[in-house]
Amino acid sequence: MLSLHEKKVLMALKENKEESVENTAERAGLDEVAVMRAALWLSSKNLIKIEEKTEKIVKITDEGRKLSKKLPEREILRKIGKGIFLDQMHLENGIALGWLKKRNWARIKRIENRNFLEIAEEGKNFLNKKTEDEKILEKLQKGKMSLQEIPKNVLNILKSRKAIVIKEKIKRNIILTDLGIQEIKKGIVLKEEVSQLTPEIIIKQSWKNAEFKKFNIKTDVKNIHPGKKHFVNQALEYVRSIWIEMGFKEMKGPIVDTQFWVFDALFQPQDHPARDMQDTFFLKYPEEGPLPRRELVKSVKNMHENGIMEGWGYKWNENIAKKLILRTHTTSLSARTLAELSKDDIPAKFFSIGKVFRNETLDWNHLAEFYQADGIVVDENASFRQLLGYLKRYLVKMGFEKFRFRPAYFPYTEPSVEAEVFHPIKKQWVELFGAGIFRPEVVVPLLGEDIPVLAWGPGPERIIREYWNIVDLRDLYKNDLKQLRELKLFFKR
Amino acid sequence: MMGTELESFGDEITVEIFPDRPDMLSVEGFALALQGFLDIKTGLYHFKSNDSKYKAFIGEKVKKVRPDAVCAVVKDVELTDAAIKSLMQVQEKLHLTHGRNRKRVAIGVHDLDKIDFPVRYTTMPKDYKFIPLECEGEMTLDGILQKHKKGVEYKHLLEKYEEYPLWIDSKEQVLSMPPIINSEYTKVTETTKSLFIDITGYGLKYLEQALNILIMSLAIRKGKIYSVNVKDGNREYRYPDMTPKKMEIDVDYTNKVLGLDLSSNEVSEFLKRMRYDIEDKNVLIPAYRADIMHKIDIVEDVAIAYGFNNFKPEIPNISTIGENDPFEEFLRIIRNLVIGFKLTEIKNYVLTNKEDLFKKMNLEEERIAEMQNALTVEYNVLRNSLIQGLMRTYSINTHYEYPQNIFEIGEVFRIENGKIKEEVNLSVGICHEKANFTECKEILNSFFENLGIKYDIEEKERKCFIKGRAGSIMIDGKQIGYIGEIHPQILSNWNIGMPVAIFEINLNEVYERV
Repeated sequence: MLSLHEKKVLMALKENKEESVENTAERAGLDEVAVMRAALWLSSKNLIKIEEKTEKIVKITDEGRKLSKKLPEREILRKIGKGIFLDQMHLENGIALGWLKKRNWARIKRIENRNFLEIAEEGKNFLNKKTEDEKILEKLQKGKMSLQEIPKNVLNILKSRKAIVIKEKIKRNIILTDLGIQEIKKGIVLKEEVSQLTPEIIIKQSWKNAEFKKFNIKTDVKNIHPGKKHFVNQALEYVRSIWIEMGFKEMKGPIVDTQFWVFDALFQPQDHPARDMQDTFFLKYPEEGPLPRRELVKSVKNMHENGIMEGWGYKWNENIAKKLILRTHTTSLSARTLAELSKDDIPAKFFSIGKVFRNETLDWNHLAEFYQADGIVVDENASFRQLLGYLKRYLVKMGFEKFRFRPAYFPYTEPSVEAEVFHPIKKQWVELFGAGIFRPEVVVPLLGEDIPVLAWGPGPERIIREYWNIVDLRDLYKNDLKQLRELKLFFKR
Repeated sequence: MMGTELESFGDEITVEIFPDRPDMLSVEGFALALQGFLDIKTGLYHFKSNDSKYKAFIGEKVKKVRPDAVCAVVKDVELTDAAIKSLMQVQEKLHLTHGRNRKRVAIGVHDLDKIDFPVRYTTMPKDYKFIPLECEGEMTLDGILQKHKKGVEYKHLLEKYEEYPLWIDSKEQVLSMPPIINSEYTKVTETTKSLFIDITGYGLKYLEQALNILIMSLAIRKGKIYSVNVKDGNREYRYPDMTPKKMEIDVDYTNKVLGLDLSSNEVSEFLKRMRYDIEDKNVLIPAYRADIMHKIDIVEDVAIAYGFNNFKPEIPNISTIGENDPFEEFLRIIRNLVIGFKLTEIKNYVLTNKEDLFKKMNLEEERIAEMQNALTVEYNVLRNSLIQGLMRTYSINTHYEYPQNIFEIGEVFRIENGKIKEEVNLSVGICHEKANFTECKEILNSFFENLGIKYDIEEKERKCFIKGRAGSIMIDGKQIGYIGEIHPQILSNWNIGMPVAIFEINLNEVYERV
C-alpha cells in the first residue's frame, strides 16, 4: 500500500526513470523534505534507488553582488576616454587602478611630473564587451552554479575579490528500479489522503473520495502519568482490607500519648530501659498529658506495685506516667480500646494501623517514623491454639506457605510467640512478627477481669520492601517523583 | 524452640537470650535449661547450702547511698579458664541487663582466702584510700571516680553522695567500692580456690535473683555453697537462699489458656523438662528463675515443652463484622477524588524542624510540639501544616520533568490551650511553567463541588504568598484553609525554579460538613 506522496514521487519518475531530488520535487509538487521521506519508504520497498553525489557549488556573496552592479575598474574605463590626468579624478582607493593595470586596460604615463592614465589596447577591446568573469558574476546573481561550470582563472579572480563562496552539496538522484517500473505499469491512482479525521470530513462525508493515511502504529509515544496514590498508602490499604475481611474493627488513637497508655497500662516497669530517653521521643512541649479516670490509674498503680501474685516491687510514680512521648508501638491503642470495653462488647476483634516512632538515627534499615499494625481478639474462650490459628490464617493470606512458630519474649504478653517464614530466595527462616496473649496484669486493670486477649503486631514495611524490591527504607518517604510515578500499582491476589 | 534464638553454630554457638531469662546468661544456666528441654536430665537441680560462721554487717550510713546488699561464699570451685570466662560473662551480662547497667545490681567476686571475717558494708569519705584492681598504688575514692576507667564510666551512680560505699574486712582491708571496682587485694587469680560474692544495689528481690543465678552457675562447676549471715540493723538474713518457691499447680488454667486437654501427669512431665518439680499440688520453682510473677509464666513453660509447632492451630467461629474507622473511610474517598485531578500523592514524615516550617516559608514562628531528645535536629518538632512538605518535595525534584502536580494527606499537630490537637490536612501543589492561582482554584472548586460543600474565598495576605494572590478558604464563615501563589523569595529559599500555587485545608473540618 503506497501513501499519496510515494505515489506522487513514482509518477514524477515515470518519464525519465531518473531525476534529481530537486526536479522530482518540482514535478511532484512537493517540497524536497517530503520527497526524501517518500523516497526512503520507496527505497525500503525496493521500488527506487537513491544515489548520492557530493557536488561543489558556487554562490555569489554580498561583495560579489556589489561588484556585479558596479565594477570599480569598469567605472573608470568609461570615464577615461583617450586618457585623463589622475589628479583630475576622484579615486576612493587604489583598487580600481590595480585592476586596470592587471587587466591591461590602461597604463600610467608620466607627463610633466603628473600621472597620466592612458587607455590601452585591452581597454579599448573591452570598452563595450563584458569580461568572462563579469559574465559569470552576472549569472551567479541569478542563482548558484556548479564548480565545473566556471573556468579556473575566473574562479581565482572571483575568489580573490571575495565575490564568491564555494560550498559542498549533496546531490541526490532518485532512480526507478525494475520493480518500480513494474509498479508504475500496474497503474497508480492518486486519491486524496486523510490524516486526522475531523468533524468536517465526517459531516461532509468527503472521506468517501479519499484514502486514510496508514499510521505507523508501532512508533513510541509520549509517556504520560495518571494521578496516583503513594505506594505506601496502597500497601496500607491492602493490609487494612485483610483485617476487615477477617472481621476486625479499626481502632484509632493519638500519636502523641502519655507514658501511661504506651507503657504503664501494658505493665512495663517504669525503670525498664525501653522507657528511657535512648529509644523514645520525649516531648519538651507540651511535656505532660492527662491521665484517665482515677480508678483505672489506681488499678494500674496497684498492679505495678503488687501484681496479682507479684509486682515490680517499686513505688509507682504518677509523674512518670503523665509524661508525653511519641508512641513506640500501636499497642497503646489496644490498651485504650480495652479500657472502654464492657462485657457486652465481648467477644470482639480490633485492629489498628498507625505511625510509631523510635528515637534513632536514620539508616537503610532503620527509620525514626514508620508503620505498625496491631490486632487483638478479646474472647473468654480464646486460647493459645486460637492465637496460632489467627496467625496461620494471616500468614496464608499474605501468601506465605512455609512458616513456623517459636517462643519469644515481649514484656506485656505471656506466652509470647514469633512467627517465622521460610524465605525462598535467601533459603533461611526469617522473623516476620511477634504475637502473644496479654498478661493478666495488663488485662485485669483494663477489663476488670482476666479475659484472654490475643494480640499480634505485623509491620507493613516488610511487605512494602519485598513487593517493590526496596532495600533502603529511607526510599519509602523520599518523595522522588520519578520513583512515585514509575512504581507499579500494588496488587495481590 | 526452647526460646533462644540461635545466631551461629560451629565450635562455638551464639544464642540470643531473652530479657526474662537472665538465668541463661551463663553457660551453666543455659546448659541446665537445655538438659531438661532435651529430656536428658529433668526436674529441679538440687543445691546444698552449708552453714558457716561467715558474718556480714550492713551499716547505717550506706542505707542512704546504696542501701541493699546480699553476699555468699562458694568454696572449691573448678576455676578453669573456661569457668572464669563464663563467670565474667554472666557477671557482665547481669550488670548490663538485670542490673540496669550496674545501677540496680552490681556484683563483686573476691578471693575468699584473702578476707578476714566479719566483713562490713558501709560508706567512707571521699579521701579514703585503697588499691583498686589492676592498679599499682593507692587511690582515693574520689580519685578513682575521676581517673580510673571504671570510675569515670560509672561515677554518675555515686557522684551526688557525700560518702561512697565500701566492703571492708575486719583487718580494714577494702574488698570493693560498689558499683565501681574491686580491690587489687582480693583479686581472683588462677590459684584462687574459693570465692566471696558481694551484690549491692536497690531492691533486694533483684539482688537475690542475681545472686541465685551466680550461685547456680558456680554450683554446677562443683562449687560448695556456704551461707553468710547478714545483719542489717536488727534484722538477720542468711544468703544465698536457694529454696525453691512454691506456686499452686493449676492444670485447668493451663489447659484453658493453651487450648489443650493435658492431664496433670502430662503437665508435670512437661514442667520437669523445664527444670521444675512437682510436690503435691505445688510447682517447685528454681531459685534462680527471675521471671515467675504469675501462674501464666509457668503455663508458658508448659507450652514451650509441649512444642509450639505441635499445637494444632484453630480458628473459632466467632463471627464479627469488620469495620473501617469512618474517618479513615472518608480519607480514602478524598484520596480517590484528588487523584482524579491527575495529582501524584506524596508522603512526608510528621517530624520536621523549625527551619523548614517557618524560616524557609517566611512565616512567623508559632508554638508547636517539640521533642526533648531528638537525635537529629532535622526531626525534632511535629509539623503543624503540610505546605513545607510540598516545598521540600519540589526542592528535591528540580531535575525531573514538569508539570509536578502533587498532594499530601497527612497528620498535623496544632497546639490549642497548651494541648496537642491531632488533625489531618490535605495540601495540593501545582508546579510548572504556567502554574498560577487560577489552576489551583479550579481544583479546589471541583473538590468542594464533588463533596457537595459550599465554600468561600476571602482575601487574606499570608507572608508565604504573593501579595494580592492569597486567600483564606472559608466554610460557614469559619476559616478551614488557605490558598495562594508562593512568593518567589520562598521559591529561592528552597532552590525551586518554577512557579508554585498551593492550597491546604483541614480535613477534620470538611469531614464535619460532608
